[in-house]
Amino acid sequence: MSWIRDNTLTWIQKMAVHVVGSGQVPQHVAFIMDGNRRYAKKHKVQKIEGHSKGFDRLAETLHWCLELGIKEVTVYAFSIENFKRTKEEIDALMDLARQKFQRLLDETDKLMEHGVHIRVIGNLDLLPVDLQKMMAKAMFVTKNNSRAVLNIAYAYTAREEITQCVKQTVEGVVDGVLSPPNVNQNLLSKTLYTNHSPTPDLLIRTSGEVRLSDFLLWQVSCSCVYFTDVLWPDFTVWHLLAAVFYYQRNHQQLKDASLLEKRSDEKSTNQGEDFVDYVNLKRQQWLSLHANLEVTS
Amino acid sequence: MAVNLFKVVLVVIHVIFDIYAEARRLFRYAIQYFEDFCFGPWGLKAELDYVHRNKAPLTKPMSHIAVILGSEVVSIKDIVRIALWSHAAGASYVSFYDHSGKLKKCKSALDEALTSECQPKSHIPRTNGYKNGIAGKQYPHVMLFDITDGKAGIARIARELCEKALAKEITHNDINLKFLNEIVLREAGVPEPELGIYCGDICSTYGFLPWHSRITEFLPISSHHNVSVRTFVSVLRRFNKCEQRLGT
Repeated sequence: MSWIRDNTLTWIQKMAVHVVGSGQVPQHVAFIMDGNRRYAKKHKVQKIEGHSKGFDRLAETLHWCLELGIKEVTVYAFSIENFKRTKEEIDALMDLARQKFQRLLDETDKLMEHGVHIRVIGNLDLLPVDLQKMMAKAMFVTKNNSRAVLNIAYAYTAREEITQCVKQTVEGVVDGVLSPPNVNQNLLSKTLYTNHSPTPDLLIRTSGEVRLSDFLLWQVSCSCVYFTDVLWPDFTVWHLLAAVFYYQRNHQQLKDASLLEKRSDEKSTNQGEDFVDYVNLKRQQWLSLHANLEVTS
Repeated sequence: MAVNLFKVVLVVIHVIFDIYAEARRLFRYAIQYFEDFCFGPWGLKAELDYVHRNKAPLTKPMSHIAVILGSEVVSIKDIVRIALWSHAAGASYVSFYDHSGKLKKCKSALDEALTSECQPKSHIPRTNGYKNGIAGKQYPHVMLFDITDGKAGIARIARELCEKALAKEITHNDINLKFLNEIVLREAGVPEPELGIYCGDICSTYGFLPWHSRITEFLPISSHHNVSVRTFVSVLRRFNKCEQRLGT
């Protein structure tokens, strides 16, 4: 199924989207798409069928987000912890990712037409090389789009992200690019995998679990978190609207915390900014190197 | 024109929901008041007995309960009650997170209130103390955190590691998840909370220790003000039903 969906909304759903969309809409929404395997079990089908259904739901959700005016979406597609699953399931998941990224590369025109920017966040070195190249190519081709952004967390955990961030900071200090007094919260935020994204306004987790499972722990400090019982493949536009409605009712309460965080945060220094540029340059080099290598699937 | 109409409809829905939410809150408050009045328990000692009696079916291990106060005004009396209930439920650590830092300013008042509730006086629990030792068995380790302990705490650790690397005490290759985990947990002085109780309608971490909230189950109470021990025990029961899969 395509990444860019045509309209699937009924007229009443469209009206509801217009009503909710006329209020304050979160600019950045993160999703923990949980429940694919329980969906498969419930419907007595193979696990991978559940994951495939989950992807279809994601494509539709992206469309609803665009309709609502949500500019950026981040999804937790594969955690580093998921490598603990059976080899059979991991292989099937990697194949599904290959298939979906190939599809994405095939419909680049559509992505360009809609102005969608794709980013994959995580430790991509943990993935098979052919998949790394496909991801790099998708990121590289869409890097100048800005109408909508889709961040896909793949081989990601927040703790690994923070660890890598601290490690590269220490490396920068040892290499003489940075000195310790310039290391602060602001600098770390600007060198995480998500450094080009604003912090999420709303985090939605499906399937009734009420934890963050190592997803964006740093970034969601002042986000509204919405837990819903529905399994991800059963997620509908009504669930999304309910989450945005919840955000509209509550986001004002988080403004204080957000202001306080900004006030307590030290400003970045010139040297800090230079280090951020240095990190970004290194990432761009990685991207162009991998994107320009032939994709073999 | 159409946009304005949509806005009006949305405002009306929000107002209806406000009324519904307020009615629900009052209804729940009335039920809680009625239950407490009819069935008790009354007084801290009876409340602790109630927790002891009801913790038997709770099978999940629990070392640390974190309470996120959100935008609520601090109530010392209720914080003391929750701290002692949590300890009675088996948690060695209980932490209270008030992002604004107002709770930390009430530290001495809280210490005093804890002291007056605990017997014998020879083992006085002190907040943010007893990082090691036996206090966790006899009395809870009560910890207070604010926004400067979360991300800013990790930034402080990063800066220290940079200085150590310059002094050649470590190299950047020493830094991995296990290494950093030990330092972050040690610096904060608490293990990862298994249960995070947030106060109010909105679920958010408000900047609570990010490294620690990986597997925390977040469950709500409507407010920590005059919270009933029955509500607390029902949160424990819900927590007990949560299943951890750790990625597998």
